[in-house]
Amino acid sequence: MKLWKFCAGYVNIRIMGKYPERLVNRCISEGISLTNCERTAKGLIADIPIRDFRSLRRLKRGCECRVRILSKRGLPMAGKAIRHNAVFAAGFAICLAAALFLSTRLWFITVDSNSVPPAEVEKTLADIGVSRGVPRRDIATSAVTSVLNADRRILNAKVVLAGVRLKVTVSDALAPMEGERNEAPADLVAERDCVISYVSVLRGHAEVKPGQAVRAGDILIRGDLSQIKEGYAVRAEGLVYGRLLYRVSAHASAYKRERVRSGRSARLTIPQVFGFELKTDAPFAEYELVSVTKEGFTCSIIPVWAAEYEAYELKEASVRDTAEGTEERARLAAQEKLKKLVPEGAKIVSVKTECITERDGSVTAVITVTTVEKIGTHRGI
Amino acid sequence: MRKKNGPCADDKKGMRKPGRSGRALTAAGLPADSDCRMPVVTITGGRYLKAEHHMGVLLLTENCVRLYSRMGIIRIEGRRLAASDMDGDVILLEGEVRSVSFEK
Repeated sequence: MKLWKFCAGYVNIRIMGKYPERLVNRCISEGISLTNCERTAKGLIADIPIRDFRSLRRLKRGCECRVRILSKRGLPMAGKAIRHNAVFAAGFAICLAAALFLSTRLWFITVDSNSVPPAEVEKTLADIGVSRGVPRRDIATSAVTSVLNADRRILNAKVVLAGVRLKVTVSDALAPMEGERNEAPADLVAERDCVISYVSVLRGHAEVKPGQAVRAGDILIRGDLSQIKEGYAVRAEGLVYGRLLYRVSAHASAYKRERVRSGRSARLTIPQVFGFELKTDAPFAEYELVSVTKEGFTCSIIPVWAAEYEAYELKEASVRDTAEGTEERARLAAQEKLKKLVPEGAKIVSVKTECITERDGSVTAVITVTTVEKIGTHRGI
Repeated sequence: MRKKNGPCADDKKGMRKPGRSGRALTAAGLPADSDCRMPVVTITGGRYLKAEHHMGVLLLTENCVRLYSRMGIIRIEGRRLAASDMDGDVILLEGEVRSVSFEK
């Protein structure tokens, strides 16, 4: 309703006089729709459609009312305002046309790839005519996908054209080839003890199923296919992910090594020029400075200051830590161990941390991590 | 002789009794709002009031709105009342509606 009112245009009027309600009733009986009718101290304010405004002159006769326009609003008024400002209208039209034209072209190419360098993928795309600035209608994503999948390093490419952005996702790319590809018959065996979570066979025969527990060295994908054809063997290829469990523990004692004041101290005066402190002899091997005074030489043009400090000697000592601090140290130590243990490509699916506090206040942190990682490795037949 | 319908006549007489058509509808077992000339006042949440089949606005202030209708004068009292839409015999009021009554 409001939108329609805005599109048709309306005039905000003030009806002043003795009986504004009379004029309102006459308007209603004439079929004129009044909106936002409100009484104020100065009169009755209402919105009236532009097309009906002229009939108010006739209707107000005999009502002892005066009508005053407060404002004119709506699309026709906005159109009129734009008509008076030709430069703005032209600029707006140019911007609109430019936006429409630019939206028909491809402007961004995003490549999400782990093994194949994005620059190489972009070069491949450029070779088939997919580059920045080309019309979007000329891009056939299915053709681009098939071209990318033809690359032997790419297992599966996904190409999505979203607006002016082309998103290429190269998922599960196989390891890049080094020189000639080794095609010698081989089995894919488990590197470590784990529980299989995902198996995808490219070549060979799957020997395991998801959920099955395997030991290191067990065959995951068999390359020896002599049961199909006598003496037939291939190099087993595929993806096998396994669920692995890592458990590390670290111990932290209740005491921590910390530098504390030994009790010895010395007064130290350090001259400062332009705010920079000049080097002075250290009173102790390790010390902590506490500012005492700072005096400037007023007679000098160069800003020279003499800063006096109290130097407190520091020495290493065992200090009893708080329970939280001890736990934190134990946890950090366990995390450090875990970082070294878990391979980089592993996907962590769950982490459980447990802290056991001993009677003497020392804490043992135990972290149990479950990961999903590739566990297949080739073993010649 | 019967007087013509008008605000002054209603002020004197107060709320009218249902007419012949109203009685006929009641006798036929039909609801009262089947008579398209009877005023219908609908209040939504104390914030909006829709009065249908009124016959004119007698007073429109922010605390009181008086509408002339076939059943007499409908008095709507409230705070910050404003007619958000007036079209034909329908008026839509917005504001804090406190009471609706028929003037006698």
